[in-house]
Amino acid sequence: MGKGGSNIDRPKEEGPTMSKVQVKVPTPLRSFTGGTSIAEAEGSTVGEVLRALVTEYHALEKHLFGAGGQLRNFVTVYLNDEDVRYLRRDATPVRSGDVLSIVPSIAGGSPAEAVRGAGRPVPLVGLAEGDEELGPPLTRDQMRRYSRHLLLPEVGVRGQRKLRASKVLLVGAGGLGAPAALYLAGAGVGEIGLVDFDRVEVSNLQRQVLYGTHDIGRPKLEAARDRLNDLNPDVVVRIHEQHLTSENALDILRPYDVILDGTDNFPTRYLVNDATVLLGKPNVYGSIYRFEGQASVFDARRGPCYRCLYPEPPPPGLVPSCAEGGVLGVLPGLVGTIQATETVKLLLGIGESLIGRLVLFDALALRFRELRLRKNPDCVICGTHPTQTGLIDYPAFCGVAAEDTTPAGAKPPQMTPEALAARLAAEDPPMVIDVRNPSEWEIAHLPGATLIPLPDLPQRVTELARARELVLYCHTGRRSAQGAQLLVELGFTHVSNLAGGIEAWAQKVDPTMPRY
Amino acid sequence: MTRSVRVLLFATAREAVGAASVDWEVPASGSTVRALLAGLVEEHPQLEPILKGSRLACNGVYVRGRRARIGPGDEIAIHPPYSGG
Repeated sequence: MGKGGSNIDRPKEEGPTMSKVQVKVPTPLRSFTGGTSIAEAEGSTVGEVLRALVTEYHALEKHLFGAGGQLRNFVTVYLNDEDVRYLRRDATPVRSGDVLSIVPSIAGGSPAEAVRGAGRPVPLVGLAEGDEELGPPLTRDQMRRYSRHLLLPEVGVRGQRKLRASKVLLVGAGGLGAPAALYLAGAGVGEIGLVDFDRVEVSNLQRQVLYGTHDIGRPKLEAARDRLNDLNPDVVVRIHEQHLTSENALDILRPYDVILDGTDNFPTRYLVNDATVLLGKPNVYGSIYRFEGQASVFDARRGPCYRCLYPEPPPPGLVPSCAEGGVLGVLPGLVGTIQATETVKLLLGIGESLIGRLVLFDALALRFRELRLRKNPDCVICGTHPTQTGLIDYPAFCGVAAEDTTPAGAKPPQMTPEALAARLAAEDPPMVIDVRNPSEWEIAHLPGATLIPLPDLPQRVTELARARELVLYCHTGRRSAQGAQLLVELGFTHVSNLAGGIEAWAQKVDPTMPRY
Repeated sequence: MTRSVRVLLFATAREAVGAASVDWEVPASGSTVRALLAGLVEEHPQLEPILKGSRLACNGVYVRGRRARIGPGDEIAIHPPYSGG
């Protein structure tokens, strides 16, 4: 059985019959087809159909075929929804009624060759090559500071001046943004913008290496600016202390050459993706989950975007946030430095970028995997016929504003920590159920509570007496609200939810209780 | 001769099943992604909501839709979205 998609959705054997196929022509090529957006051509394979097409529209030929008559490397062709590179290329058989889509590639250069590393390096960010654009010559101090870069022929003095003339925006100054910001500042990127609005918390320091213990309580961006200026006074640090929204995203991103997505929530990821697609900028993506990470470079001008990978955000509550799920401290260090590496390569125009590839990292197995990622011709924002032309504010659901996903009307009542304390001291106390994970239980739990992790609740519901009063709790009250809701639906009548979870209990009732 | 496909599980899918990979028997004549997922969900019902937003890859290439044919020796990966930073 062949590798890749050769077995996908295609019959194994097909005779060489002529089939009539529709060919979708992208806007940039329509001037060669007399404005036609959908042409018809016949053939038994993809190659034959395209050759029949250029017989009718001569002017198209040099855009689709090289001098030797082979399909050009940078021409991306989809048969229905499969990239023919992953089928049998020109030789892929076609059937009547199939649709071939020619996916536009960007003007100039041959980006698809750069994606596969076949041709010479192509500058991907397009910093102008003129000397005046690179600013003044490097100073003596800069020569010494960047000497290990200057010794690399791939960087050299010219490359270092390119870095100095570059502007990178980091969205999120957390686990991913922290190591990325440090390395980009060290590398001499001229201007680093940061978007974040949090303050430094002690629980950040396990992974957010940009901050120190003395920064606890300070706005992250103030602390970041101090640290980055200390690391490299050449770097201009611009701080954007605000939420990214559909209102401000385009204006904030516009001045920068490359955007590094290190945010911790889906709504912001979709904003960053959509804004970079609309602005035509590379989006250096990284994301982490417990022991796993993903990284890629999305650049809709020459490859897929984040929506080609995941068209829509998942429904609220399906994916735990970092705070709920935990994360290995060193993991964002690995993924964030992959993002910094890709950013520097883009700025220098060297190497083979992650465009069209998704790197998956598993820290437990210490294994990197790579997936080829294709542009989705039906992508709502970067496809052949985009339907989304602006930005969307998805409701925030990972972290802060995640509270309420239960339908109104059937909500189990809330109990305050003080009320629960009083009930526990009284006669006939309620049964207290902890729906957190065992690892959270080990940090701290309420006296006399029973541990039933939320995923186990449906199976273990038989352990609970229907007549008894039940109080559920979790870390902050969100998961236990789901659990209480479930019990109500199953017919339990005496169910309530500890408002604010064990966190509120620690604040209001038992200040000696460890918090996390 | 192997008679199974290997299913690689990532992130929340891994937790739902409790393993990083499972070997799933398929007929020698092959099967489809859809049939494979239906079988997995039957054994691991908690996987169902996760599959909805997940991307699937067959032998290292993303597949769109669930009609893709699979056969013994293939490697199917389930990649749920995640957004930590």
